[in-house]
Amino acid sequence: MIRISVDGDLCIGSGQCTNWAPGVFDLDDDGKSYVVDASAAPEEQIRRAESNCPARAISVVTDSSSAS
Amino acid sequence: MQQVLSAADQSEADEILGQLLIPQPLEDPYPLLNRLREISPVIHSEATGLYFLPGFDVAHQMMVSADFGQGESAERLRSDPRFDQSLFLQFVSHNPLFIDPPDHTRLRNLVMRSFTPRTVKQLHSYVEGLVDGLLNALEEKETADVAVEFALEIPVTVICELLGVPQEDHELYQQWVMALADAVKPVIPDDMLARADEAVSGLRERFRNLIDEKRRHPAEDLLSLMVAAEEQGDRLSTEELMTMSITLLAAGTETTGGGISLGIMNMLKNPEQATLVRSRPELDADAFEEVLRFEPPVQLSFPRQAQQDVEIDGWKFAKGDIAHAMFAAANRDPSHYAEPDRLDVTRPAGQHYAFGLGIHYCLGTGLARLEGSVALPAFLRRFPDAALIEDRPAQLKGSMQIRGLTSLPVALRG
Repeated sequence: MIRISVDGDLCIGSGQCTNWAPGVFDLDDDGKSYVVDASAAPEEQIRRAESNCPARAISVVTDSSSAS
Repeated sequence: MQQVLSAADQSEADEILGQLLIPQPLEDPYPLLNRLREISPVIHSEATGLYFLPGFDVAHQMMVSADFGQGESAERLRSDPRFDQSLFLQFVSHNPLFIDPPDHTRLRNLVMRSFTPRTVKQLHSYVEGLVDGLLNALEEKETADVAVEFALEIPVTVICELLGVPQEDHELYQQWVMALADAVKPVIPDDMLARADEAVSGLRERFRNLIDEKRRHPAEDLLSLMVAAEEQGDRLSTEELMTMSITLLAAGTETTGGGISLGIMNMLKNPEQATLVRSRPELDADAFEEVLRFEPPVQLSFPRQAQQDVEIDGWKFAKGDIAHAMFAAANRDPSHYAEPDRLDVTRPAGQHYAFGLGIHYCLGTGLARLEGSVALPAFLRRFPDAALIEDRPAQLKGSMQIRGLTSLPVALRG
């Protein structure tokens, strides 16, 4: 399980995450990124969205507590 | 760790930077950029006092660091003895690329909703139609200047259309844009500055009238949206709107035009890659990314200044130090790309610095990608036998900062 968060103060609305992990991220009416569905793309793509975010607004952490 | 270069390395690095820091573009700067990166990922130029960062990782860390900002960039421009008389230098000092947060954040937030992926998607069929029309016009010819008649036409038409500039003015705007791009250099010669001043003067007058018109009769275009954009009761002033419009026009045309014309040139120099693109539409987007990595139109970042003493990727910078990320060198860092000097459209799409990084990351990335990923493959497919002309080589323009083509003569039928 992974947990994704987007820091709206850092986000510059580049939309890179929506390219790297389509379906996982979308931009709201202000152009800021938010998480739509964390399971919509493979983890590898989500990690690429994280590392390619030009504003470092995305963080992806492995959530061990919810592993069953 | 602060690696100190040996005297021999330092003097070789200074010698290379001397060759790069001229007001003209070099035919092939890449061997020099590669050598510089091999010497060290961080180079301090003895002649200019500036830091140059050719290494991928350290360039990345510096560009996203909140400890590096514009700092006194605007003051440095103001200290140019020509500043008071120069509309161009005044424009540059006010444009969003030279402004730090929180002012930058406010400006960016006010315009970024006009550049969301959704907005860009809506332009897809418009761009396809535009590219198709330009290619139809080329069909009539045996040879063409692909830089002028195709590559630059696309972004100029798109941004003028977006801003609501009347069709009959497009050519005039294209000339002004070329004068602005010519003046984007670490050192600006007087004649180039004079032409850029005229361009800013003309653009300010046109945009002032357009903004007035959009206030009275709002339309669906970007300029109307920017006029109406509000964030917490805040609005852009007429002065800010003029600066923003000129910024969008200047930042979105020569760069995208250069990406497309350099991209077509590099494809024609590597016919096996062009053949791959023609036959595999699923590579359209990756092909444009790869030509941007291989030869980015913006080769060097604008200066960033350390706001305090800071360590970046193990390198110490003192408050006030000024650094440039060398995008064109970082894009060929072998620690991030296999065989970086080879154009390879099947390369796994990875990060490159063609659009910069950090809070000044290109606002128009989505739009540039749309234009390039439509135009490049469409040209190659329409003219499967297109070839460069041996005795009429492409003419470069720009400097070590912005790179593009004044002309790209192509024999359309080989």
